[in-house]
Amino acid sequence: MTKRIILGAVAILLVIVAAYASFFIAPQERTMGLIQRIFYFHAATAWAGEMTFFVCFLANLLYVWKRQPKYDWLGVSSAEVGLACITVVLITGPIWAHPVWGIWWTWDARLTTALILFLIYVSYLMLRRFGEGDQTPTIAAAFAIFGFIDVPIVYMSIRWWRTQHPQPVIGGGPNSGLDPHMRPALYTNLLAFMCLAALVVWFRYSVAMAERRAEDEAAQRALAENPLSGKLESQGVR
Amino acid sequence: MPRNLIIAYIATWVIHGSYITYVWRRWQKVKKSSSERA
Repeated sequence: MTKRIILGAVAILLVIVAAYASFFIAPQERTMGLIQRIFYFHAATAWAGEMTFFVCFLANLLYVWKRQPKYDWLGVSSAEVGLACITVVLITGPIWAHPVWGIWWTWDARLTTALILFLIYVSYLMLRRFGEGDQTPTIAAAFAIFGFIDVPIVYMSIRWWRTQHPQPVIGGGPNSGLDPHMRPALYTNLLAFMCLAALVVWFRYSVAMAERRAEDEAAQRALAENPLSGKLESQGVR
Repeated sequence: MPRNLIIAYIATWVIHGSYITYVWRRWQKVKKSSSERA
């Protein structure tokens, strides 16, 4: 718990510093003006979301391989946090786009693949939440593993196709890049949102573990109070 | 500050905040039920 409080305090501090850097330290962009400052938390949240989807992918791979429930819980926890992040991206993107492009949305490769990513993880979490039967976690894990294919497609979409979405500012080739004075604001936001995402995944995973422990204890208590019902259930009588 | 910038920043924290509150409430519920059992 102490570790979580320390990490929480660090995350809050980073978020405050990142907000200050985005709004007051970063220089004003020449063509878009102040509205461009959305970029700092829009891009940072997108990166944090992609990081959590990668954790979800690894957790589900481990679940399929080792069949330990802890990996299933980690998969669900990281997918939920990633979904919150991609929701932020899909909302802040159009708010930024409207005054700059004159439209809220366009079906270009980056926006479309990001929307598909959102729908993939909504489907995964719905499957995990409402699916019935012992095979549900395995089916959901396989779905999440294949669904992760969209993450590198989202990342590469602005490199592979001509899009309305701005070209990459990091790792985009010789003619791309970010003004060096804008970098501290972007890097602080990246650090803040990644730290926050990691903290929330950890917290959500702890909640899932505590819930499972409570369920096990309740089942054991019910069995101790009425041993016959447990025996009948174990023999397939419900 | 342009209105869209402020709306985008508030929307970011409404979404993150709602999710963190949801997780926090689930944790409180588990903690409460385990303390009641004890």
